[in-house]
Amino acid sequence: MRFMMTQSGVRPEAFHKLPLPVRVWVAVLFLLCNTMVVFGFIPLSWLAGAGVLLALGGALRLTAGRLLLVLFISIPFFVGLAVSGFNWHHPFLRRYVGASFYLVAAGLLTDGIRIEEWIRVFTRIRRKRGWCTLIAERTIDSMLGIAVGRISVGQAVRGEREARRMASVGSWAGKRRLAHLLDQLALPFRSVVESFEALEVALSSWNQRTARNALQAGPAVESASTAAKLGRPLVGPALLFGNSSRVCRLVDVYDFPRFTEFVAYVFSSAPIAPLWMQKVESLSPSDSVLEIGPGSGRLTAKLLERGISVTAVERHELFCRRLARLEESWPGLLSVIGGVFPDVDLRQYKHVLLHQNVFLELINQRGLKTILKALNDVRTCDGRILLDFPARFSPQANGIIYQGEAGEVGRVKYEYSYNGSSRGVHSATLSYEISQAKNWFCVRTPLEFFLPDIGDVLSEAQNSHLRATVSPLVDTLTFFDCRLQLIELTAWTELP
Amino acid sequence: MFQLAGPTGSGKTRLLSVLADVSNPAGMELRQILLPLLSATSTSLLPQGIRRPVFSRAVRSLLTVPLVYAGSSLTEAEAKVRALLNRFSFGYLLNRDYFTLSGGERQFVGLFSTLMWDVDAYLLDDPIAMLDQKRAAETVAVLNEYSQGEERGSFVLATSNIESHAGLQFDETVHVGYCPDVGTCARQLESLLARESCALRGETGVDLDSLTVAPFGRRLVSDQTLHLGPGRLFLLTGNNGEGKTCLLHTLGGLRSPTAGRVRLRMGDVESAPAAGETALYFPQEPAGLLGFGSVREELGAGASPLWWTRILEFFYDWQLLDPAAHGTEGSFGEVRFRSVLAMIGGAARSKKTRILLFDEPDVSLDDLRAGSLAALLGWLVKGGFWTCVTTHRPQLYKACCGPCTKVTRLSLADKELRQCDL
Repeated sequence: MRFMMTQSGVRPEAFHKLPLPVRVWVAVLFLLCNTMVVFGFIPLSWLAGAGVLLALGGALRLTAGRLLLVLFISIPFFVGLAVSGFNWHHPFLRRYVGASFYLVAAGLLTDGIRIEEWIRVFTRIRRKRGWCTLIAERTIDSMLGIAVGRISVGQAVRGEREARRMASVGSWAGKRRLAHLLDQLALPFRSVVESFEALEVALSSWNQRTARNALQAGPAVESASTAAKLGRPLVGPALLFGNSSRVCRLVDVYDFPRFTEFVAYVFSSAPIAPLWMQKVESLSPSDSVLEIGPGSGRLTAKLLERGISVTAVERHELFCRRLARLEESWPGLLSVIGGVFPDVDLRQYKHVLLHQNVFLELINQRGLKTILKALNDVRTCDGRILLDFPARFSPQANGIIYQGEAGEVGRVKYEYSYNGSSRGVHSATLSYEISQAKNWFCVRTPLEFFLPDIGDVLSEAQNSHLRATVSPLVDTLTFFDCRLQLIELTAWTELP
Repeated sequence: MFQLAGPTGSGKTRLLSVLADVSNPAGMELRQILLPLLSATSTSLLPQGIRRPVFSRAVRSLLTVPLVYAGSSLTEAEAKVRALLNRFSFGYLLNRDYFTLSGGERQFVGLFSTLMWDVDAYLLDDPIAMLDQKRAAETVAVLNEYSQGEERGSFVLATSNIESHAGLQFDETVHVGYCPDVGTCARQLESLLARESCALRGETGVDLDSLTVAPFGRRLVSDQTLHLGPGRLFLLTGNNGEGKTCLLHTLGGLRSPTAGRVRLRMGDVESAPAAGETALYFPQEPAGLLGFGSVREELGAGASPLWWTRILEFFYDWQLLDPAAHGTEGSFGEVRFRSVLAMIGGAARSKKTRILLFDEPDVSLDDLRAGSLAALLGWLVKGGFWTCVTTHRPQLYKACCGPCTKVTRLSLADKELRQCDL
């Protein structure tokens, strides 16, 4: 005998071994006999015996819920039995029990005949034309809908309640008790809604799959061929997905995969802005310099060439490895520290250099006042803090930051779309694509950064006892078509 | 065969659903662009996870109905299903009740019912996330074979754990989303956890006393006595359907053992684990664990101790959690990650909780989130919680749970629970 494992134990499947027509006839016969019992043509005990035999043979699934239902239905029977003075042959009792056995017949039709067998029957009917097709299709849909609702909705609600109880989530959180209560009350209803949505989706895909696919095949091919003729890439901007619910900080842009390699490639060949070169050449070889965010190390190399001792603070491993190579070329002159901002005494350095948006990144992370206060520690005689700052910020609605081959990284397209600003916080979306052999990578992420007015920066520097000198505007490769200004900060008062 | 790779929350599922045109009618233009690339006009989508509406409790019906609906006879449909199931060594599933299946088995049934359709493109969302290594390798082999055969359509597989798809040969890989620097994040989390400490609650161990567990008439453990000591992170590993979840339920007092007992030992005090009180359980499919508030509200940042706020802020800073997002919105992996954190936060604050049980918490999480979770669990073990996790990624826990926490693997073999240090 074959068995089926159920949640309530193991169920014999003897009944299911019978051919489908036999099972259908058994169910129909049971239904007819039931009616005959109600009208008194057949004794009730015969039908009860047949029901027990069918249940033991696996035609009916016995669960705790069903047994509870039987108990509930039995209440009027026992009341009637007591009222009739235990007269087993009273017509009410016979008819009531007979009518209750219709449930057994319904059970035989659902448990004894599997859903795929019903669907097989109705798909055969569907092949016939006219009203048969319509009825068969509607019946299949209703059958599946009822089955999903009966099986899945109950399971989902029970599962959710049980999961919340066992994980004890919500019993501690910072929410108010009323909010928890409302959550608890709403959860079962939400499940039902979700399940019905899922049901709708399931049914619509059952029904419309063929029709929809036939409709879409034409325009889809046409669209692709038109795109190919026009020389456009088949993968359009709508494909750019990714992290769209997040807000990215300026510094996190560097965490894009292979972005540091891309930046290293682009900057390693670009010339250093003349103003920075001029400033570097004015430094004396005996000076000690702290360079924060040296990146690919172009400026660091210039400093080392002049014999200046440099401490470089860099957070990205790739750039750190490049700087380590410089360390080998100029031993003893360069030390590299990993991190964003050095946790060291700044007084030991004469000059501090922050270039290529490093200052902007730092004030976004730690605030303008904090950074200027920290930089104020550099108070040695002739000590200078050099930084570049996006003084003129005039982004277009959409702009390309870089497009083209970037060495081993592959083909890169890096662009932005500017969404506006509020209280100094600018909002934009960055799109970054790499195509390399068979791989195509894309990121589209929102970006938010705080960009104070240069006047505010200078006045805050003054409040921190730093004197500022501002250079003319500098052109360099940077975000959002902005132009940089080189700011030189020196201390008002010099410590002895 | 195409691969969609990217971290949790990067939009892979959205892209697949647009391709399948299930949830987003506005994505028609995208379908028109992409489907010709796949030479497909009809698609079959396997949704992520194992929570899906079913129209029958019988696995046989779930698998044969699509074929019968498409016009096959009952005998043909059953023969086809049986042959394919046997090929994946899942032949025994045919006579099972869907609700008695393990998570991996349910995922396989989902995958299988997707493959049953004769369509041009199969869109599979993390199809082997919950399968054991052996089954995953077999599935990968069959998918490879299908994709190379002419009679089958194109395959698009989405995953956040690229290693799990290592055996597949892809024509093209599309990476979506970005993941912050995993190494730096792990180091920072480690140093944060080293500074913080949840209320230490003494050493907690679990004793199995002549334990016998036999769910659904199948004996998993027979008359076993074992001491599972404190200070270790226990990883319950094994193949799909071996009984990991049932055993986890028994350890947490969620299911009564057939014979014997499980005792929770705190010093000299002994008690039985109480589900939802001394023992908390994170289910395989954590639907409905979060309510309707924002993540910040749900995870309790408002009235939490400082250490929990700091941990949450760390996750917000690294964008592993979006504090403003709705508790249940977002991708499958994001909601799962939030739910795990919600339970951990509650447990760490609770005075009663001693045992933490997690049923595959790392499924569909990218390396960064899964590694952070492992580090957090290691920290909880250090804080005195007795913690047991079922997983198919034991090496991840070994690598990330911190230097001070020992990792012990528990496995079921010959009706016995065996432990060995990783």
